Amino acid sequence: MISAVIDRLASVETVSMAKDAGDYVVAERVRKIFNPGGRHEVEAVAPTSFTVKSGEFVSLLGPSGCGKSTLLMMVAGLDRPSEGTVAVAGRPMIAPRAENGIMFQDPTLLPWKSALENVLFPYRAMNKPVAPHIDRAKALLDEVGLAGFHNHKPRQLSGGMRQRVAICRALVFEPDLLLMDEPFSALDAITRDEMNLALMKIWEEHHRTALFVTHSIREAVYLSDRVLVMSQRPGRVIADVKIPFARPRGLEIEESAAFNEICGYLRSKIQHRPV
Amino acid sequence: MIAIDLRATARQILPPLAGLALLFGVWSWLAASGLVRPRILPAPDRVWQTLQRSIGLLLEQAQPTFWAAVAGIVAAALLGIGLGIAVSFSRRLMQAIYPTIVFFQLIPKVALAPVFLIWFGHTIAANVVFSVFIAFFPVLVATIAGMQATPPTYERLGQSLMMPPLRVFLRVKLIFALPQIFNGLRIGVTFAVIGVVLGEFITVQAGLGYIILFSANNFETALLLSAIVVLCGVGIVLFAFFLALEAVVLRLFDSR
Repeated sequence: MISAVIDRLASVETVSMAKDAGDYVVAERVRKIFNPGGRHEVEAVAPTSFTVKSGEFVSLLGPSGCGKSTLLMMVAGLDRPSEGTVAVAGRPMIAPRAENGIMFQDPTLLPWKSALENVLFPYRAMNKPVAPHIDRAKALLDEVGLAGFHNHKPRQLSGGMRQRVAICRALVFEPDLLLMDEPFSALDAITRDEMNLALMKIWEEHHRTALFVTHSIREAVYLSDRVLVMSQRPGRVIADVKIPFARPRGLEIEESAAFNEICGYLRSKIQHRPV
Repeated sequence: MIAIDLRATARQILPPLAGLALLFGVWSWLAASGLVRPRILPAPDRVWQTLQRSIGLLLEQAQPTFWAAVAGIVAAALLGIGLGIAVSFSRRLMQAIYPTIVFFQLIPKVALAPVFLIWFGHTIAANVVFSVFIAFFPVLVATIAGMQATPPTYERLGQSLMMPPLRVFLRVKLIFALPQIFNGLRIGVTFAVIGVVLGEFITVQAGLGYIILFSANNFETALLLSAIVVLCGVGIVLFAFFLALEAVVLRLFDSR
């Protein structure tokens, strides 16, 4: 069984470049250089290509500082690639689009607004009426286990609860692409497990295309359909590994031999800085 | 429970009361001992009598001082907050005007008072302008600091939600800046009173500043101290107003 998984891994490891009708996110030879020509010129992302299929949950996994967040920001349209192109839903990303839902490492909630008001903030930001969406916002908060906390202010919530509010805010206008930049990396291990479970549950329900940045191997394997491993800076995708577990997934899959086999395999792919 | 609260309140109130009592004790003793002549330092009860006797005059003279300070801090707030917001939107504008403003602040402002005398004469306008000149700087500096108080990820969030800069400013940055702006206003309002009194010393022949100068010249020390008491009252009223405004606005936005 374990050797079969490894065999399968070996066969998908080569980074596929072929475009497919189902590809929702297509990054082609994307490169990012900060301060080009300047004294502090840094190549954050080396020319790299990858795709995310519609409805797929894909993680970008790599050591810190490898440019995975930069790559995500380019998919979000918040950073422009220095070279190459990113297309989402067939259109080149040259500016943010309304159909993206984004989560950052910080919850970035407005401290003076209640949890519910924070979830509804995207409508206020876009100057759209809020009233028709209040019921859905409340339902989302209930779904992530914040039923009694709609009117609490962020400072009255724990770190994990704040990030749950941020998940709801990212999902409230029903984005077709969910982009998450290490959203749980500031949380403790137990809260992180809970957040992974909550994210899985809500994602399986709403089933958006998702791109998730993390430096946690186990988190990437638990959440993803596919894990893209990135190299040290300048980062590029060096492995593309399918995660074969059926959904819905419980946390118990983390105890299985196959899970640990895949984690070990991914660990071997990550290039560690020489000590 | 209530007893504990009372004790806590007493613990807060007693030290300042004790300090005040000590001050009055030393003052009374000095005046009674004959070491200091009453002309130089009248006893507290004489100051109290003078205050009661001349309260009509003092309150009348407090009005130009009070309203000039109000005009000063309101104009300083508009100018300081407006300019602070403007320079936070434009790096160029910041580079163009900020060094000049700081340069003028480095000059002891009293030295500039005669300039205002030449420009505005012995009018209350001279007073107000001088007060604005002194009070707007702390408001400006605090506003600039406040406009940088928004964590950078919030700007990313704003971009990702395609908010135009003005909307990010109104819905996010301004509210994050409020506590800082109020810090600036609290300092600014005390500066505005200083500016008005300095102005009254130098230019205008009215107001509590003028009374203070007039009584000093005539060795009317009791009247001088009475005027200072009333001036204290003016300062406290203005300061308390801004404290209350701050409490109301920050509670509204809960942004502390």
